[in-house]
Amino acid sequence: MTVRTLVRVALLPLLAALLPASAAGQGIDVRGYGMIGSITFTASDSFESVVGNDSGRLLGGGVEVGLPLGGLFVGVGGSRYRADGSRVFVTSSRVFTLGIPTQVTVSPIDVTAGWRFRQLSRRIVPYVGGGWSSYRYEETADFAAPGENINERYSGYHLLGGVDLRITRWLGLGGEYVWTRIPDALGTDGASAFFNETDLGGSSLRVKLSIGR
Amino acid sequence: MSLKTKRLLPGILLIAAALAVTSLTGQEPVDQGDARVMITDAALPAIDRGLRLQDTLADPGDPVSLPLIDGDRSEPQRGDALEGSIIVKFRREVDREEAGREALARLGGTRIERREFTDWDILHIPVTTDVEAAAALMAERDDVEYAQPRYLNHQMYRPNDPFYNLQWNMTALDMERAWDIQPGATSNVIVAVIDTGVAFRSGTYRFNSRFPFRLVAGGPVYPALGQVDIPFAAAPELGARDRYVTPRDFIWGDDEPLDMDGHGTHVAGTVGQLTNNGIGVAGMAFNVKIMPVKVIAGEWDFIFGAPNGGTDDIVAQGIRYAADNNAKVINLSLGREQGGPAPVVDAAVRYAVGRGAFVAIAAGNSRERGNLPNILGNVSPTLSGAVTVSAVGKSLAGAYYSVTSPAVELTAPGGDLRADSTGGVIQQTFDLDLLQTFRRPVAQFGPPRADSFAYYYFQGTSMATPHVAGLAALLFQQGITSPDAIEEAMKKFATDKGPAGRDDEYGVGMINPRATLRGLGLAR
Repeated sequence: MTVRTLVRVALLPLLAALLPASAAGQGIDVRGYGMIGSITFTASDSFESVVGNDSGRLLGGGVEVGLPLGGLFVGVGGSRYRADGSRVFVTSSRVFTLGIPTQVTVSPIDVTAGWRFRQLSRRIVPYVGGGWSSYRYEETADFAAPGENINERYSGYHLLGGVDLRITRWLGLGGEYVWTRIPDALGTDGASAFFNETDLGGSSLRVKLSIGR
Repeated sequence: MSLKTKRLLPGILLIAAALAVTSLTGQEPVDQGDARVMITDAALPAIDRGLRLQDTLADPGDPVSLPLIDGDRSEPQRGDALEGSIIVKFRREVDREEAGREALARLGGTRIERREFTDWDILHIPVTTDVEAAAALMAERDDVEYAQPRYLNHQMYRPNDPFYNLQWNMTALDMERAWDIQPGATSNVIVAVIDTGVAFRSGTYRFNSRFPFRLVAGGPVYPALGQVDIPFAAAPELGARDRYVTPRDFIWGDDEPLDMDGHGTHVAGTVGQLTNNGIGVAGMAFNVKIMPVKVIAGEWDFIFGAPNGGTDDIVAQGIRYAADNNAKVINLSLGREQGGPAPVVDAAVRYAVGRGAFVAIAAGNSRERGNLPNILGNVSPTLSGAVTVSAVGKSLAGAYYSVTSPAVELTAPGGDLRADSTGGVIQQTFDLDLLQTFRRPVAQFGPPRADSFAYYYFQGTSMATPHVAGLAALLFQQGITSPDAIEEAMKKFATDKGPAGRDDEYGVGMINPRATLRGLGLAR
């Protein structure tokens, strides 16, 4: 996570404090969304060596509930990253691709609480949030013996900020940035141990199409 | 014509006829000297005599087992180094001709010789000169990079008295699962077997045994055999002629590295014996090309007066030849425990690694004879891309003969026939009963046959080393294409043995082909 990212995330709650909610007394809003995005993993060297890229497409969806407490909302979302690669051998100077097909799948579930700043505009609503993340990590490869493939779930946390654009009363388009940390999920073996990368998290930019209020 | 003449005519004609017949039938054969001559490249098919037990125990690791020829030898030997010549590498910036002349004058030498595949010279000096002192004298000069005696090397195995279910070594290395990942490499990978030659072709060759000899000091004297025609056949389980690339013989100085010992053929079998063909045994990398390079003289080579022995310079020539001819893996199941350092071989190994070849070197078999490591292995700890290999037996404990040394980096199955009579490494090689006729009583001594094969259990670090060379070939095919990375991979995935971490008996541990070939995933 870069300093610039941290500053951006930190500024969002400040903005929230400066702009108190004016929507108190509203009812519960429920919306569902579909999401497409791009995730860049913190363990960049590990992902680059095995799947050839430290970034990849993220597809998912979820539900958000706007509570009758100003801009407070809660949500739960799931997504999935999947990439094909090859097992490798790495030295300090080179990565040797061994041609053994490998598939890496990361399936995050994010439970988020946040605040929407509805008073800025009726159509453009910024929001910030944070919460608990659970990432399922699956790694399968050809020639694996029992116990050599991985299917494990790891927990961490995330911070996010974004903007909703209300196209119609029931339809919205939004963009958000999410930073996640999933500590100690990697780094005990494999290429991640060589690169001493332990965090399965990363940062993602997401575009969300939502239906609902 | 007078009556007297008429009476004498029949007699004169008879004498003339007799002389004519004598001059034809009594014609002296052309003296081929020490040279060998191929009579025909056609030969009967090889004979496979199955699993054999060997009657005699010899210890090729012991220099006294080398034959002592009672006769003129072009280069007499004393101890472990040839007399009459030393190896000198002049510094690059030096005028070699001038420096050579000066060196010759100082040592009372006769000539300086530069051979192919070398960057050093052979200085021929008086036979009476102490070669170690002469080399030390030369090494002190500012214009000399290194100088050393021409130490003799030998194969690193111990043949003993004696199919896939007998290959405990392959099971110990989990090779079946390794072959699932990398089935024997391909013909794109060339493995140089630098050894006593390989039974790589068929043909009948004429040799000249000109001098009586004895195998051991004080032993019986075996007679000279004169000209003998010896049938050779390619080892059936190593494959057809196209299995071999750029064969080279630095003992006889030609392109016919015929094995007359059996060691090189056995080693080549562990590297690349044909596998999954329903016959015999398996090899580690059974699809690779094999480059037979002969640098070690067997007993028969000495008996037939081969012009060269397995000196350091000959070994170094072989290594450089292999590297220059695109070998990706070099197997050195040879070396010596006696004598000084071998800078000429060290430099050749560095040259080979620099050319992209991985080098596997036997650690040595002298654990019970002073535990003297193979001097040729001394280069490997400081050179990434070359490893020195010790041996374990069937129990996977260190073999009784395998030296312990700081040079040992990895271990592999080399067999231990003391612990188990079937505990050696089995491969096909010559039927030693028919090849090593010099082990018979003198009255039964005769020409050898090199066209009959059998399966033998051998033991030694010589037998361990080709397992590592074979794995290197598999790794090269799998995508690890640099010698230093091959070494790093082997060490990373080696199974630690003995005390935790590296030790002098097992190095970092026993090679683990399946894990090494499978490499690393992202998280496991």
